[in-house]
Amino acid sequence: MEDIAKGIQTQFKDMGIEVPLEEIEERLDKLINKFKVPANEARKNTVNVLLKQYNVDKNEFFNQSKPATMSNIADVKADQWVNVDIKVLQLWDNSNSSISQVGLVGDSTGRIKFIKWARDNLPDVEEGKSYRFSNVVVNEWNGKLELTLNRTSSIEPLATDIDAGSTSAGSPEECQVSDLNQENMWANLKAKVVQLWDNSNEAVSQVGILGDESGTIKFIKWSRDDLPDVEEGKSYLFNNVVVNEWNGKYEVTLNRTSSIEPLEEDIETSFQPQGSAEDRLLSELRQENMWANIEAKVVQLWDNSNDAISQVGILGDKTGTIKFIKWSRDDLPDVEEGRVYRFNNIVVNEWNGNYEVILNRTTTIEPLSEEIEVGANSFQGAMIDIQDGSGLIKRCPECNRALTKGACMEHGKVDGNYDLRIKAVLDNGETVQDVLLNREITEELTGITLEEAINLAADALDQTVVVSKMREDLVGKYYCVEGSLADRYLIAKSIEPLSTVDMEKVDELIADLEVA
Amino acid sequence: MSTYVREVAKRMFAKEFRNSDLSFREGDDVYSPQYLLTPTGARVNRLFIVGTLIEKENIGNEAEYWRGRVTDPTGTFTIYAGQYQPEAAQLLSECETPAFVAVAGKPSVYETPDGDTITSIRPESISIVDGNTRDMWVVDTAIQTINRLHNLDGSDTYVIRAKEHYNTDKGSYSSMVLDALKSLKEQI
Repeated sequence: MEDIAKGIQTQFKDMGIEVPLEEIEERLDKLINKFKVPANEARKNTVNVLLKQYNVDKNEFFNQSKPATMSNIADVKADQWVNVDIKVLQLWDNSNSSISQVGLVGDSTGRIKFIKWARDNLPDVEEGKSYRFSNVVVNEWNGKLELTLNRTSSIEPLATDIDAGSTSAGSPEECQVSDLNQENMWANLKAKVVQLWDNSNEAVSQVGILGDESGTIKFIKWSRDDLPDVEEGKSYLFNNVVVNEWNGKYEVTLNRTSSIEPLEEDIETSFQPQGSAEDRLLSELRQENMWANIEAKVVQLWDNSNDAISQVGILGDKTGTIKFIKWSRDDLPDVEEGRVYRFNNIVVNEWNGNYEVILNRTTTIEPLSEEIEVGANSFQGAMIDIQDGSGLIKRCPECNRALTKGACMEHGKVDGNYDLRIKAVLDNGETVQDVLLNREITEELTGITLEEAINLAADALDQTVVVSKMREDLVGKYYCVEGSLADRYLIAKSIEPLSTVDMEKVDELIADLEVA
Repeated sequence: MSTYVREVAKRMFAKEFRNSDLSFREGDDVYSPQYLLTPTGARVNRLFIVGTLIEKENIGNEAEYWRGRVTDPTGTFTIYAGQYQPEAAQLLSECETPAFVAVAGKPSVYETPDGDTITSIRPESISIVDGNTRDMWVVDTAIQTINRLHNLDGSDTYVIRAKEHYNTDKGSYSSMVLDALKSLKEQI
């Protein structure tokens, strides 16, 4: 931080302005340490604040040009202006109209991404050719450096070829399914196609499961790669396939360089196509790939924009609720919100620590006439809104309906009774849940009693001050609500503000990302 | 009558939001909802962010029109609030900077005469929060971004469209998430 402060001080000194170091450091410290602002943003902000304070013209300040120096790629640092002699190693596909060219350049010391913007009208470069880039800026994005060409940059072709090393990929080894445990690993694999899945995506040519005696793994073959089709139950040698990872599970992706050769031999597999489904309660569905029969109520159906999904929502029984997905490809009858069904032959899937019910080709759905009482439900998310009709309200003394503008829908103008409630919108980034908090829970959460709310309103001569104060205090924070679902509302039995980060979860996420 | 479905507030880091420039309407008429499609395939009609409001300025002439800058571990969001966002404008006019704020709002994309696109947020609500809420949002946003990155290999129509438009570099977005998470470990 001291370095940043000194840097800023020097920049201002060059303009003939003396800024005390403590003043700069104080602002930086507040931004970086107290308000968690990233160092580069804190630097920019501190400069802006000082520019205003000392009445310095922004353009004048930023136009102090820095001479560019000749550099090797290995030596470039963020924010430097440099000249480099490089070879264009790769040009990437780019559909962003504001980018003219983007790709990878290299010299004998290393490689770096470069970007050329359309607005700067610079000449195009060609893959495999060598150039001198003059007056380019080194930018940093998340610890990775990139070269950005700008209006003042120039590009000159070089007569000499820049040596930028070789670009060979490792040669794949023959593997068993259980060996495929590393992302981006290349392999040759002898395996049997134990299952082919229905697939409505034109980009995917075939998808399913491969197996050998060591295990099974999902595979995917893309249409663009023009590979021959495989058949269920036959064994093949798959050469040059890549391993991808998702959620701790690996899958095999075939690609342009892959080949598929049918084998005479039959590969033994450990694959069990289908477990026997037993009748289960929703709370028992806690094991990936478990097959079950369930009787449940469709508690919610969600809006769904994905063509591959026919219906998605929440099922509930007396033990709780669970998400379900019905795929379009399986041609199953639609279910209705609020109705009870028997689902035979469903599969349990795990998704980021949550279990969900997947209906499939073999599932049957029968409507039942009995009613099911759905057990306690919980929802965790950010409160992004408190709706009108919250805070201090009046209810009809006859029917207890909330009054609008002093009138009851049923009984007209009446002298209402005061009550407190909150109609909150919680949002977890994937779904929205309307939550209803009654007087008791509202008082507990806000610390404002009904009497205090009545006084607040009386002082302000305005009933809406109460809801405004509640919005101010509650919106934007995270909560966990437990309660029961009725129509679109979760009627809260309890609400808990969440305010501590689960550092173990953070460590886990970091570890996952570092492995990938 | 079909029931009104409220749009989910998507989570994304400032860097991804800033890199987004593909907006489209779902449907043919002018009342169809507008969406922003991001490099990792989020289809955004509403978003929720928590960060540090480091700058605010009234850039309006007669009527007040507030611009605020909100940083997260990866960069800066720009928010604009005027007469149609009275509560947000009022908060911006009254609050001090720096301050932790939570903002729910609509994405807005503007193309400059130079062909640059500027992505900003029109707040529906903005409130002052604490540092813990900000950290929780970073974890929340990291998880949702990771989920989208994993789905990048999938077959969702919007994901395919996002990849075609942005040529999304999965590695750079996962290192963005990694750095954001690591920044939580650096603070004490």
